[in-house]
Amino acid sequence: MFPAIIETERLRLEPRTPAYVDVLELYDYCRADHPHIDEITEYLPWEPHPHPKETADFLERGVSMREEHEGADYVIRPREGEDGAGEIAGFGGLTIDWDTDSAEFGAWLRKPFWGRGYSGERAVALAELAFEHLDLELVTVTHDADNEKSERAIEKYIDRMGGRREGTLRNFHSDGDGPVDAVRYSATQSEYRDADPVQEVAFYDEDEEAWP
Amino acid sequence: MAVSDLLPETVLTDRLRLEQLGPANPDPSTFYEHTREEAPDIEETTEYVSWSPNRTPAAGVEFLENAAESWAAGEGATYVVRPREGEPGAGAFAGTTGLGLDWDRDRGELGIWLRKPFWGRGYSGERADAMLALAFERLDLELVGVSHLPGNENSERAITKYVERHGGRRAGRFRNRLTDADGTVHDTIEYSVSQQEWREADGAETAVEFR
Repeated sequence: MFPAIIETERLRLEPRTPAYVDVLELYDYCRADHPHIDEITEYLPWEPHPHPKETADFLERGVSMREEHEGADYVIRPREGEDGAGEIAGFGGLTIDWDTDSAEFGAWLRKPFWGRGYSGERAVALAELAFEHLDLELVTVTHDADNEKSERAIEKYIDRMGGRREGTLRNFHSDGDGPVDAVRYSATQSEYRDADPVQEVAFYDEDEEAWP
Repeated sequence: MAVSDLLPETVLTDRLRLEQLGPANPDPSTFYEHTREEAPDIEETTEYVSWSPNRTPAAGVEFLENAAESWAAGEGATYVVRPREGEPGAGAFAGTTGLGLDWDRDRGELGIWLRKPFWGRGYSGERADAMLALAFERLDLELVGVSHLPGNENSERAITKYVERHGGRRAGRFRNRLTDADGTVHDTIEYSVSQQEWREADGAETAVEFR
């Protein structure tokens, strides 16, 4: 259902599974005392990991969502020539709702990889997957109403896809501190085709053969 | 004490009496008569709602039982709408209305369905005044949301009016937000009113009494 590997000009995406991600290496980036972890997770739907068990469970859920066809999440690694090439830069993927013919983007990056435009590059690659291969009608994305960094990144790539900002949904979800407002955006398959965002993207299976 | 103990069994406005909906009220045969596939104007009155007309009396009973279960679990309060004395059709089963409850998100969600003879009387706005009072005054929720499907101009008019009156706002059009009973995907137009907006606007046009 999903490609194993996605390559863009600067990024290589691999499945969020124990086969592709070393659990202890990842734990080190997600643990509560990692530099900038509070800043990174401030607007994310998860808390820093208290224990590697949490990290292992995170990777296992990556396996099961893929198997259940509920979506595909990828570890993001910069390609050769980029600063920190090969490192775990973060994660990005699609959560699919087949009933509403739509997929929702989600992503996070470690702080050293902020400000490079990786989020947009990953989003366009995943939109290509959602529209050209999974034939979904719509991609959506939300950010917390006061998350200005995500707002800037999302505005930019949704615009490239010909999509739109839909509005603010109050009390959209609940985190540990209570309800949070979110801004929702979307782009349709036809808007995406008309906008035709130019970007190099290639899909491969587990054996690095062309996919599909 | 259960959450459901917070929900009044009866709510009175100037012109309406809202009564807890369940297997005993409305009378199941009356309910089926008005919600069955052959009921007068049923296609028009259910065109934009999330449920389909009942195919069998058993389906009607199931609807009433589900509403009672949601009530008991504190997940929603559904009421029978009846016009009060002095109104045409006083005491009749005029429709149903509800306040869905999402405690984690501190918000309620409004819903209503009215039989066609009761359209155009401003009942939707009057019932909204009552449900907002229930949500904010009694249940201390932070926000109440309401949505309609694109093209539903009657609901758009009614909702715009009472949302503005209560200080709320239209959030926008959200694409592929829900699927209905037969699997069709719909966009929604969504609105919300916060407790603070509601207090500042003080926009109710009816007295509201809980019993």
